[in-house]
Amino acid sequence: MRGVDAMFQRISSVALALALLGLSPATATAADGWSEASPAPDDGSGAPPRRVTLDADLLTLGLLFNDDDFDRTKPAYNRERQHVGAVGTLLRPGITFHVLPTLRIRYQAEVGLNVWSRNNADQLDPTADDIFLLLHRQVYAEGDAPCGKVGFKAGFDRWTDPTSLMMAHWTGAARFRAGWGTGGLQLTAGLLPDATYEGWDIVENNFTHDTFFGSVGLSAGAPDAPVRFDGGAQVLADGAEAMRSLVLVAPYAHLDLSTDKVRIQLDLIGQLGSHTDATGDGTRQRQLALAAQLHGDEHFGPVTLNWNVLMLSPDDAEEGNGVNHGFRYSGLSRSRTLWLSENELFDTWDEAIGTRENSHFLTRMGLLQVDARFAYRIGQVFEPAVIVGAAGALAPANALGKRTIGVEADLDLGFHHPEGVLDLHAIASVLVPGGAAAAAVNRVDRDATDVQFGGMVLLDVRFR
Amino acid sequence: MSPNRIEVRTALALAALLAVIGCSPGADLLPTPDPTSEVRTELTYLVDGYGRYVQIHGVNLGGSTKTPFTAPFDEEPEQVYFDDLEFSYVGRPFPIDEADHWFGVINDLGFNAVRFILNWEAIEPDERGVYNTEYLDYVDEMVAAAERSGIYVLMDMHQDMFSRHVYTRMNEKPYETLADAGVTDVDIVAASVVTMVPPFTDTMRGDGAPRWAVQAALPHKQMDSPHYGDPHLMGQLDLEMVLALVEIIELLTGGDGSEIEVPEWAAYVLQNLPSESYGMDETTNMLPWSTWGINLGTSVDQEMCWAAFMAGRDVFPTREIEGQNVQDYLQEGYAGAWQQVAMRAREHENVIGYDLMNEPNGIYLALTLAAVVAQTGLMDGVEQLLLDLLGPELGPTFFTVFAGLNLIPPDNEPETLAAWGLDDVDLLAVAGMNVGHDANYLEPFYSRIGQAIQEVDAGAVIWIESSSGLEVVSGSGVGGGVMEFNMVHPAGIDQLVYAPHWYPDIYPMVGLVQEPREFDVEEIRYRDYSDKLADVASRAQYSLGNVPVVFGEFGTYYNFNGIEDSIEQDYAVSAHVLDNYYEGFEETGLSRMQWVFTTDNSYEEGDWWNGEDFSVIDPAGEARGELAFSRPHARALSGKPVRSHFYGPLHYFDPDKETPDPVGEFYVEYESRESGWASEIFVPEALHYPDGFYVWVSDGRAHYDPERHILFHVPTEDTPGVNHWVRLLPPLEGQVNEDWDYFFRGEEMVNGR
Repeated sequence: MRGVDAMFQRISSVALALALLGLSPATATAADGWSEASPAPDDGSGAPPRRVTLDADLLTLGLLFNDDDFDRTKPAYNRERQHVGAVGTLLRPGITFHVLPTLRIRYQAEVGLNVWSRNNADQLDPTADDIFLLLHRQVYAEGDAPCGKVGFKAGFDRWTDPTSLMMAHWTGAARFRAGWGTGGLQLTAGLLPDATYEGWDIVENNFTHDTFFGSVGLSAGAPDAPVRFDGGAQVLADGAEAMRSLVLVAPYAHLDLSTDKVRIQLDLIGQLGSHTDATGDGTRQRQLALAAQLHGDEHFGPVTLNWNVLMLSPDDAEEGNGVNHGFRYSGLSRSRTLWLSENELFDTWDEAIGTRENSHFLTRMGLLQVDARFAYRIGQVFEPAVIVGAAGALAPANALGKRTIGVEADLDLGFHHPEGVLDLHAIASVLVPGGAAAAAVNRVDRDATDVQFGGMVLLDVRFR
Repeated sequence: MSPNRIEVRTALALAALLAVIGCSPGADLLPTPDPTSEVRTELTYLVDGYGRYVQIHGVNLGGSTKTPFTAPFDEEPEQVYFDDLEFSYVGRPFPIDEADHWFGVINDLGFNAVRFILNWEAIEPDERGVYNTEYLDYVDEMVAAAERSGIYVLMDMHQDMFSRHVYTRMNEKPYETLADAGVTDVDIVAASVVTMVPPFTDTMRGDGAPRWAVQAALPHKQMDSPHYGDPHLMGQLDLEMVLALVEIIELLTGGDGSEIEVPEWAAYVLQNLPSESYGMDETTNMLPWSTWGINLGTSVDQEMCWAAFMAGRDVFPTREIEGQNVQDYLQEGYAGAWQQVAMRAREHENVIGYDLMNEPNGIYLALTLAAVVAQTGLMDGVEQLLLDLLGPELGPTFFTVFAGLNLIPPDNEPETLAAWGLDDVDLLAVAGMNVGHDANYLEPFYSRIGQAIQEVDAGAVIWIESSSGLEVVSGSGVGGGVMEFNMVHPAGIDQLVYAPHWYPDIYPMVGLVQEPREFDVEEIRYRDYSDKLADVASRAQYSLGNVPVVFGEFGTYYNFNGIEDSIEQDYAVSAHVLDNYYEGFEETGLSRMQWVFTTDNSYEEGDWWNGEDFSVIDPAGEARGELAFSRPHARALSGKPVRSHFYGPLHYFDPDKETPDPVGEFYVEYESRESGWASEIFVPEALHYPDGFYVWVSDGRAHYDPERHILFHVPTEDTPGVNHWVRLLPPLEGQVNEDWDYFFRGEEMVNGR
């Protein structure tokens, strides 16, 4: 089922949505390259070593779109009709326990997103569908040795690899890091939630059908250096499906070049491996896929330009043959587009064109997407922005012979409190879809490419 | 480093990466099972060489094989009944140089198997033990051609009414003949009589056994007589007999026969009678019934052939040829012909078995009545027997027909018995054949022939049928089921398949020139054959040790209401009958082989045999009624089949509110996988899914080969007891399709989410 309920169930991170709308640092840039942004370590300013700090976001948003696919064909019977829209609110409270100046415990919850037309304060059943949602986003401990050269982080968080293209998952993991001079080493290992639930009793859990990930990463360059580099390899061992284990080794490189006004990031990641019993005759299928991303952020006075080029390699036309070239994608890029890629309030087409295979989106039609965001700051408060983007499939044979995914244009009227405690966005959008997107998304007519348009209003109040 | 330079370099790097993608290993060909492999039986299933459960969706090949080419070959095939012509079956069902084309057509229509019509006469035409190697080599090449097209072949030794050398000539256009003669008062009675009067334009004939075998079974017949094949009634016809005929025919056509007058057309008949009389030993006592099969229960000659072949040792204990009883003489010849076939067929993996004999006869009513007369000389005894056997309504009618049409001897004078070949018949043995034929005679016959085949092909799968007994033709079981006496698994047969035939909707017409009745689509739009099919198949369960069941024949006329009306209605009546069949087969999970694929089908002559027109292709080679038979079906499943259905456009839908009828929905479910190879589903995309089709799978993955029209499903769930399923649905107006796994359209596809 899609429609309003299903749509909101797809929201995995409002924080991410904020980031995508330009309300927080760059889309897929993690503070340390391997996790969601964390509260800063104690700065030694004299604050008590053992204390508690609180933070919170309250987000209210409303949206309305003319359709949830690119097909205005009327279903035989549809109570919901085709346009979709809702208004909702969420609260994201966070608390950090500063155990030592270099040791912290972090917890962050997400209460909501709760749709106004559904949430019922009179509901006494805590398990009812119309009760406020409560999600646990961050539950981890993080610390560094006094020398600052080694550290760790363990717990539940959104673990994102330096490219974000393969790993950007809310999951449990542990990481050890060591640093020397301007270099560093990171070792990470974790478990992804998978489709094979083995029960909560520990005696019924044996790692047999779990999905493991890990990485070895090297970094070079200080945080404020003009050139930074992250490189290494990720490993994914997906045993969720019985007798169909997937093992991927993913060498990656992330290059970050910065000046006062310009920042360029290059992401390269390959996927090599094998998938047991994945071919037509039940034999092992080789995995050989690639993704690349080039991103720029440029600031010239009141003008901000963000641009992005994203490529996900396609598979050949023979699914189930001896090799798969389709990239297994996390769903997270650095794009600023709202429809083509990074508006997680609504299905984004870089995910919808792929098949959800356990923890990743397998994009057999491939993707080449180019987009840009142009913003102009007027005074202290107002910053209108225009976002444009275009995307196409690299393997039309896997998209009913069509190549175009779509062209997007958005107008974002942003209002910002000078002290950074409040943001308001009013956004109008239009997407001219292509046949490739229609092939993957439509619910009735696989060839219809009716224009999709809509609007969104978003209010964010922050406490830090 | 300036931003511009960075951009240039990064662009170059990206280009290099894309080049790497382009240079990556190309698409390997998908490893898929061969379309055919060696098939064996396992419990109640057919299993292929990949360990998958095979479903047979086949067609018989072909209708005109019952009729050989004659010399000169460019003449009309109806000349074939003249015994003095050279003949050949090479090129039946089609010339070898057309084989790849026609097997390709069969494959494209969705059939994965053919029941290849062989002919005893074709193999062993002139004398026992002398084989036609040219024909056998032709068969060998045909099987190889089928293998190239991915078609399984069932070798079928075909026959109907024993042999084409047991026949009667007929005038198939009596109305036109009488009109030309100036006779104005023409009714069905007149036409029925005149159909047996010269000039003759066609024959009612059988097919199968060679002439030498017929002569062995009917040693009293003068087969070289110029009158052989002329209607026996015309041999001694006079005015008195014409009047008797009128009475009988009126009886058959609904009249009471109480007011008999000399009709106007009688003069025409008497003027055109043969110039000389001839006896029963110079011709056959077949009649040109509108439904040819009635001869099986009314022709002493027919039944005598069968009695000699199946039970000569009991029925004709003194009838010997070359030191052997006629039964052994004929059966050994038959077995030898089969061995010749098997020696070639064993070299081909796509041969799925040997159907030992098509529709063996199990009715011996006429011969029994004749034997009663022969042994007792009492016609009253015959009348009483029919009364006891058929009851007070049918009994007297049958007696009138048998006696009046001279279907039984009028007395037991020695000359009469010699002319009828009844001087050495054992009455009790004949009577016993009516109730114990399959158990006492057919089963040992199958055992003998099957073992002979196994001697040369150790892996042979033997296919058998029941005989067409009285309980079958009467539909309800004459004698309250007393006559149902089934055979058990024939001794010594290692791999056995039960292959019954069933034709519920071909409406036998009792009479000589009966016009078929009118039909409309609504009459037959919804008929559920499921229970009947299951009942027919159940013989395999309780008699034959639960062996696999494949319906070897079923089908329908394509000329309902006349060929012109059928064409105008795009064969709608035929298509609906067939759709009912196939839905029944799907409901019961039964494999099947439709009758028939005739490449030289003719609008005038049908399949070139007794006016039948059952061909799935028309004279132009175009499919007809294909909405019914060219349908999605599972060909091989990697687990035991559980259920399937296809709702084609001919399906009788019971609509749900505001829900589009699921026209085109196919569903198949099967038990946990036992083979690592993919399940295969035939998808007639151009016919049923021109706009593509959605695929939902229970687990695992699917891929589609648009050239072979095969959807492969590879289940991955390996838990015992878990069933797998595949569902197909085309895009339907107003139908919202959610959670599909694939959408295929020709070579294009997209993965679902």
